[in-house]
Amino acid sequence: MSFKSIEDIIKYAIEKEAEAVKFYTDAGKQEKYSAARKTFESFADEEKKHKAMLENLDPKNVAGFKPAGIADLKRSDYMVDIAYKAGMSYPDILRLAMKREEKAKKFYDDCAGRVDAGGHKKLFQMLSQEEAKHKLALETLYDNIMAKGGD
Amino acid sequence: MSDEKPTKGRQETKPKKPKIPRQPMPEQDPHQRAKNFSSVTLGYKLEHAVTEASRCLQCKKPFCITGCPVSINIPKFIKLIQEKEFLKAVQAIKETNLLPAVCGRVCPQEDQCEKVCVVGKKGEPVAIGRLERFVADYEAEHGEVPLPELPPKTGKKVAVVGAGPGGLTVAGDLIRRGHDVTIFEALHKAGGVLVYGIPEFRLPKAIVGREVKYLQRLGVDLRLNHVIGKIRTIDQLMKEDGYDAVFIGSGAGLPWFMGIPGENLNGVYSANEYLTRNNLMKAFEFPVYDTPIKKFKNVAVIGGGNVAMDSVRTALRLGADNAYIVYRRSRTEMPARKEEVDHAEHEGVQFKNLTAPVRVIGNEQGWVTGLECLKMELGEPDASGRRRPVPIKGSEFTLPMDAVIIAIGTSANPLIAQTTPDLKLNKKGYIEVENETTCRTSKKGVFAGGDIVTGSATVILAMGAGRNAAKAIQQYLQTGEWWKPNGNQ
Repeated sequence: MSFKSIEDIIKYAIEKEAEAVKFYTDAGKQEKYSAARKTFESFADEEKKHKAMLENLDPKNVAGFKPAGIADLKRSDYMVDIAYKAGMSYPDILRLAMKREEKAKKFYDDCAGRVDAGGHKKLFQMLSQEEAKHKLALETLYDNIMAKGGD
Repeated sequence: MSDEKPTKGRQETKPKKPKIPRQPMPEQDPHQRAKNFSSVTLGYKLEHAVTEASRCLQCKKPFCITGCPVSINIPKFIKLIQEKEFLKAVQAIKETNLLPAVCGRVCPQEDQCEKVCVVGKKGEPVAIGRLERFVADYEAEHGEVPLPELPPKTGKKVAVVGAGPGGLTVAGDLIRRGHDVTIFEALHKAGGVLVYGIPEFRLPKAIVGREVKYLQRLGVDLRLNHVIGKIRTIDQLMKEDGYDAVFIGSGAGLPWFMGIPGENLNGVYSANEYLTRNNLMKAFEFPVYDTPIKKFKNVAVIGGGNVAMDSVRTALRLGADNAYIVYRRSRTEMPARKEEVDHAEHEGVQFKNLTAPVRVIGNEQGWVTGLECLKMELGEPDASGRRRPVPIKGSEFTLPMDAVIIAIGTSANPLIAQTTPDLKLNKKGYIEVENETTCRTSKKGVFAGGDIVTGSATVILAMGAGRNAAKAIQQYLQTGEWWKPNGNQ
């Protein structure tokens, strides 16, 4: 995949967020129980916020981006992929979402590693950092639940 | 039972350093007991019990009662032990707790009644749990327990789904209020987690059987092998079978897994399966009982809760040379009771704390041969102040292993929810109730309590929920009043 401009990268990132919104919205529609439906709807709403953030991103601000250290619990990194299935348990729903954030982060890290220093690199780092924040939020939620169970 | 709120207990009963030390619990030798399934702790002798009871200060406003989820009148029963009125002491407990022999063995007293015992301010608290067990065992050794006088029949019928600690408590409370009570139990034995989960060496099954028999003598109709959601639905119980109210106490028996590679290899068990084979199906007595279980030499149990401790100690007793606890956090974070962790350690269990499994390794035949792990360290405190474990880069190592038992939690079995469309669940899949006092679900006449509402917790908390539900059911049967849940399923 090649990107010619910062605008191209932002456009791609927006499309990915839109795809995530659709994924969670569709999953929610397949759920029989309101609780699971609401969980997926809340994930879709979160992705909508990410999409809006990107839509409002001024490319001129990218140059000033400084990476902040986001903690990585690496809970999902050692897990196998899991496909969506209607009626899946809450921990599995979280696992599914964590895995998606992990892949998105890896993708942007990979892109940042392939370009020279400059605006493109900064933007990829910025996007990776956003995904890292989402991953951390989900992994923290998952870790809290699992800790109670004795994990 | 006391409804007093002992706000001044500490001030009115000034703690003094106890002159008599807490009486130790006699136990089997750790090396000997690690090879058998007999009870680890042997129970107080009469003289131990009386001496221990003499340590109680008989606080005027006792904290211990409020520390107990079922509000046992603890000072009253301990005073009766001081007076050597042991049968009266157990009757005092049974006013609020039908399962004292069980609770005396498995309750986490150190986090409940004993935690707030005034004697514990200046020394070790009174051994309330050990005394509870003593009088319950004394009663069992001294003939059949007399039945209380029951009120006239009300003509109301209550169905209880699940014969675990919550269901048994509801049944006991409501039969004593004159209602007809039927328990529907999915398994072939009553007791729920008490029979399938907790091993014989911690809770002899004869004790559970004795408590269940007592309920049957009171008139509770126990129907085994009845899977509600398959044989009958909740709606059928209410509309066709004439039950006026239903209590759902079906527990949380659906195991969680780690999601790491190799989890479907032969030799990987959920703790539920492993313990059920041994405890309910008596695999440890094969061939007397026709339940097979492979006897593994190197066994890793994943998790740090009581279920993990039960599993690893079972593995030792089945002949494992190396039985490990593999736990991603430090010992401080272990949710298991300290007593159970200490017992496991004394018996020879090896603890791999701050260690996370990342892959189960297998051979060409599909059997487990190893467990790849990572060393962990506690990271910086997060916004909640909690230090979470994070992997140490490059710290991978492999333990040779024949079996891996996963004990990292459970969720609710979805069967009842799937067959009861108007029963509202929370996002974790547990039944949503108005609150833990009324236990009223979104469906009129249906109550729920215990692990099916809270997720995996303790026996005594399930019993506390059962006690609350019984009160709420009684009120509902008398008034017919219900609440208006928000939202729809």
